[in-house]
Amino acid sequence: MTFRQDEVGNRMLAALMPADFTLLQPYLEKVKLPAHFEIARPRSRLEYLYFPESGIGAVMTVSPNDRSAEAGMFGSEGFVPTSTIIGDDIVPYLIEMHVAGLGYRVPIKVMRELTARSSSLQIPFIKYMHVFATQVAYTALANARYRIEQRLARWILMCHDRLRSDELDITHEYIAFMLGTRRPSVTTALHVLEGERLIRSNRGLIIVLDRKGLEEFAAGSYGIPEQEFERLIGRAHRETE
Amino acid sequence: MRYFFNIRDGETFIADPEGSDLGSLEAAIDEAKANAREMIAERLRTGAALRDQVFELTNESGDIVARIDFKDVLH
Repeated sequence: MTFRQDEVGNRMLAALMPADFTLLQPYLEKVKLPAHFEIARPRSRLEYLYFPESGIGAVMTVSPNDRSAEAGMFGSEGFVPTSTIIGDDIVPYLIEMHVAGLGYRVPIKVMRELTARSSSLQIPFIKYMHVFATQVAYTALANARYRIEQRLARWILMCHDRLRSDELDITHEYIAFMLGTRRPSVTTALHVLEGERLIRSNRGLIIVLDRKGLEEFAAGSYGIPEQEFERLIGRAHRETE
Repeated sequence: MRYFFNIRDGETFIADPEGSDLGSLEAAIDEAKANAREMIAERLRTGAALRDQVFELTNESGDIVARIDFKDVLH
């Protein structure tokens, strides 16, 4: 099956130079990315890298005694695992889908061969590695310096960016797991955001009412990695058009 | 058994819409205490004033099976 670059829903693939997309295109395989699908398990050998078109995935840090926390979130803007771009096929993280979606996969072996043939192919991917590192850095800042309500606002905004819907089908239990906190802390924090009329929360459903307000509430914990993405990848793509 | 960790905070009531499966009422009370400690710790960490909050534990029928005052979990 052939895919046209202006039809792919993944922003990394869309950001490639047309000649590089043509090089990669024959190896793109369209795949379903169901919820709980494990893209990578810690320290196991990987065959593919993935370019989601929809859904949400998480890069989770897992300790040897099974403590885990979300390090970063990805969706249709990115690709995983980012380390495949240096040719590596083992990651220390757990990478899994949490909201089901669709996407493409490419064998890591092929990616290695193609990046050896075209020096421009890996430029958007290396830029994304930097953007993703920025996101992880802001997760560290949020965890160290922000209140749970602000961290929750940031997390909801990041989901909102990737789901293209104001209705987020997410339980408190799941949010608590992702934020590394207990469930009542999330329920109470959602109550605070609801009191500010930023969201509405029903059982298993969070409805974004005021996105601008959520951004203000997140008070700088959200936004810089997203701006970095647009500065480095979004704009670069427009310049080639 | 499914237990619901509702919070009473002065005039405000925050219902737990999901609940948690726990083996016994004793386990649910331990869970409530751990929850309260985390919530107190979060307020202390961020320099917020503590609030007079109470967990009202309910079962699946909606009966209140225990009350855990946040003040009492620090001892």
